[in-house]
Amino acid sequence: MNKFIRNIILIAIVIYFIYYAQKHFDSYTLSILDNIGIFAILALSYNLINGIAGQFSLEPNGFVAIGAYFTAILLIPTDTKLDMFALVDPAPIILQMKAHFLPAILIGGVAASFVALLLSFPVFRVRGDYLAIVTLGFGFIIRIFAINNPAYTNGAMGLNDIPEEANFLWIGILCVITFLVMIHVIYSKFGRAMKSVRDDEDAASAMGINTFKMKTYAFMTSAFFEGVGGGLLASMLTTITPDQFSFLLTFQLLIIIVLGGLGSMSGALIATILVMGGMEWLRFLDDDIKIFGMDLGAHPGMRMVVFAILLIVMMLFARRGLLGDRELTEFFKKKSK
Amino acid sequence: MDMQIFLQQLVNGASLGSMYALIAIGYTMVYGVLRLINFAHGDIMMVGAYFTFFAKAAGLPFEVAVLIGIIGAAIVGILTDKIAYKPLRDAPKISLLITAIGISFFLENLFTVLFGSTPKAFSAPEYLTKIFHIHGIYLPISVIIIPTVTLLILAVVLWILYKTKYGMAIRALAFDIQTVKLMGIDADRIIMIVFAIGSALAAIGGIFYAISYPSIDPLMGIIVGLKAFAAAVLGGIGSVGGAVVGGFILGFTEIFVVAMFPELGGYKDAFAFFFLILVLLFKPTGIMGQDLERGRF
Amino acid sequence: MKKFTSIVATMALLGGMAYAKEVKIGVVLPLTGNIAAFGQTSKAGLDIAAAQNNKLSNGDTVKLVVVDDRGDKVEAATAVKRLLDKDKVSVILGEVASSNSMAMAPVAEKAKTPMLTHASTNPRVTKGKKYVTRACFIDPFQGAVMAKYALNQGLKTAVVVTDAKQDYSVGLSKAFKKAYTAGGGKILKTILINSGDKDFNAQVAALKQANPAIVAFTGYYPEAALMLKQARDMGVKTPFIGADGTGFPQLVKIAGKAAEGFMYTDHFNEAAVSSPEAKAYVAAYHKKYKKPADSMGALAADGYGMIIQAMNNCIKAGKASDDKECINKNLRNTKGYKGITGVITIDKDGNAVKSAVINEVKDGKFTYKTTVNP
Repeated sequence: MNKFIRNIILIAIVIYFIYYAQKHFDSYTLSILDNIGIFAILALSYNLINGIAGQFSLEPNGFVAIGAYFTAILLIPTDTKLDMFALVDPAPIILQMKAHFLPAILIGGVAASFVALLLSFPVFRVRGDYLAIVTLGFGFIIRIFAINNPAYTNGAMGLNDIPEEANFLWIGILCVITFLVMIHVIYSKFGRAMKSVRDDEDAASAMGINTFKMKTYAFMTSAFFEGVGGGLLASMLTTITPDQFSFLLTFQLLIIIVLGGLGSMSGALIATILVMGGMEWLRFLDDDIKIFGMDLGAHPGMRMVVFAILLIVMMLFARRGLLGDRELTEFFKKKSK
Repeated sequence: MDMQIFLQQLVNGASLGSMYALIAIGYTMVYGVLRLINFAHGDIMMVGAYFTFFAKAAGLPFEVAVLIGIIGAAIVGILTDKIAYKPLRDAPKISLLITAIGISFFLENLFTVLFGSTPKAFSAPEYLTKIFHIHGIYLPISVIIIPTVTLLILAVVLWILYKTKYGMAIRALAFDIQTVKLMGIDADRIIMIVFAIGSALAAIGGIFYAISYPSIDPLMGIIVGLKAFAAAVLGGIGSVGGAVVGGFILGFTEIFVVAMFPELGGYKDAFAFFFLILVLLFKPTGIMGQDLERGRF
Repeated sequence: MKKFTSIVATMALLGGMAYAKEVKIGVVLPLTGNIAAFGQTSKAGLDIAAAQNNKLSNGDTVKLVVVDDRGDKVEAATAVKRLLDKDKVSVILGEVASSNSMAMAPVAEKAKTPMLTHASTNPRVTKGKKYVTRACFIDPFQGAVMAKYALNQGLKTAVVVTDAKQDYSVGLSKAFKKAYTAGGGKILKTILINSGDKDFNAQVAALKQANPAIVAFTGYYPEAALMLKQARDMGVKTPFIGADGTGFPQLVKIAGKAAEGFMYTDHFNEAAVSSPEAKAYVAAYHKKYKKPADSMGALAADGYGMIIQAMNNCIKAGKASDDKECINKNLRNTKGYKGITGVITIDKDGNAVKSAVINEVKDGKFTYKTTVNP
């Protein structure tokens, strides 16, 4: 009971912080927090399929795109849509789709989850690196589909003037919910079953665990939150185009969860802050660099070079990521023993 | 589609397929020994093309520049292994993957910072860009040379793998790295050779690419690399012959589908993956692949 | 202690005299990533313009704060917020790609900060926005110019090549088709390509079969160069017409002889500039970069020039040089600004009304053919 109250208090403090930040922080800080929040949602959910269920899947860009497009289409007013679809007239169903913010985001999540269900039948026929390349291909195909079906997606022009309803309050709270759901799943019977699939699929199967079902559960849950994250992203940016959902998005998430420690939710959170905050912090490298009064001039791109080097170095020294596959709390437990 | 256009597309497809094949071989060999999807491989191809470009710009004859490009790429490949992969031999595979992505980001952005991202015009000597007209078919000499050289290289690689001591070591490594180490073979040296061969082939692919489509930029390797990887998996990853088959299938499909159904042109980049998914559904190890857990060449 | 305070006071006074106020212009450009070439050429022109003139009429200095967004929307939007909150800029200049400008526009709009995009040609960028202006013409105008020019040459059948991945190309194709068919031309076929493609043999074969009088290429120069080369290699002699996305020196470098006769609409041609300011820009550009001035850089320089003019007008009106409302009003009311890319007037929607030039590649050089007025 003690622990329960402690957790409630912790959550209350975090939510108060989110509320306070939304009210008092400047828009640049909030924008960084927004990015961290959205990427945390994506990283946490991606960690479920990749770190907990151990399915090396490279699909999140596809599910994020699905969530983003559904949310965008549901939020944009009909006359804006008519005006926006410049290439071909929008399909009738696109015009009919309409919802408020929260339902729109949830529908985006459900849509992604449904696609995950359909996808699980073919993709889970293969394992390991084959799964990786098949899911990478799925993300690729979703993007190319979005480019080539302008009646639904407005093609390469993308959608814009999406009502800006996502703010840090929404993003932060949904991030907290995602975290709680993930923690709950991990320590539930499903989570243990998923981990057993990760550690030894054949053994898990022999123990009577329906491995396919477990993988599909993880896949669908993961896809749901990725879709939600996509919806938040669309509403935060107010504009989406197919190009932003390239495999680079997946790589960015993969970097985050591996850096944090595959399978560790608190690790994923910490790594999101490190990577998203760090990329912003490293911006000074793009400016004029002066060493001992010598002006070396500005080298745009230096930021990404240094980011890449830091990434490699961190990986070399923390082979299993920052936290390994443990949660932050488990470290404290050890100390107290 | 009449005969003339068909033949025209056939040679074009063979040429494009060769380039995919050359890059796919490197992917498949590295995967064979390390079980690593080397995402930096496409960028090695870019490095090879850039080295050749700069060597030529420095006034060296084209042939020497090509040699410098190939050797330079091989060195970069070996260094990549030494710096980013070797220290992680015992770490989880996924950590290696992240360093591979890191190397890829590093090379792309380093070349952007150093040389700018505006495409550079790659000029090949006259004798490689000559065009013949035979019965209405336009044959740039490169479409003859590229597939021929590719097949020759395939023969050499297969000879190395099956007829030399090193080849035997490479195949043994792919079979079981632990046992090989116990038998007193210097595994790291063999892996170095694999990276050298793979990177050199990627450089050759990159140079061919630059001869056929004479513009190079720091991001040229990304999409080609991904497609070549898809080709390698399509053919059965871990199999050199499979990589070549996969590369050619991909080259022919991209050319023929667009020629026959121009309205599908927008989907061109998805063919590789679409195909891949279909093949894996029916034969989960690729066309010529063995069981993944016992991959060999 | 007293002495110390007086020293500080004197220094502050001196400082105040020596350094007039500094006004900041925030610049968001894709300096890395897959559209970096456009960001880098923009910055080259911007640097020239800033070196030529960074003082306002009251002695205030103008400082550029350049932020790279990797061509990424999330970063573009964050970059604007950073420029507003951290660097306290008074104006935003950028982006190149319309999709990125559209991610930035709502942020600027919300903060009531003027934003000037020098190269985003999609009509929706400024649509319904009070604080967003552009220094370039929009896609429908350019498409119409291409179509009119082709029809005037007596070329009545066309194949349109569209880059399915670029909103720019898709919008331009649509505008071209509309104007071309309205003028009595016939579209035989639309051929799709993807930016990043290198092999266009299949598309060229389809083009050869259709045998049009002209090919309207609406994509960017890397693809244009390779497609031209492959088309000429395969014996296709049909003339090509392109738009401002193709007007880069690399087109000729990559395509070589195949580029001969290629026509394209553009914002400017350095051979056709007449005003002394434009000539000074071109001369300075040659001196610094030792290559011909391109239109992307010229547009960025014009964007910069328009902002400086707006600030000077504010000073004239007795307002502060960093008064955002005043700068925006003056930007929006720009009339007959004599820029490097021609005379620029901003219409009520915030779009630039200006002439386009048509260039042709001759002997490996972009030669000026004619100017088309709106």
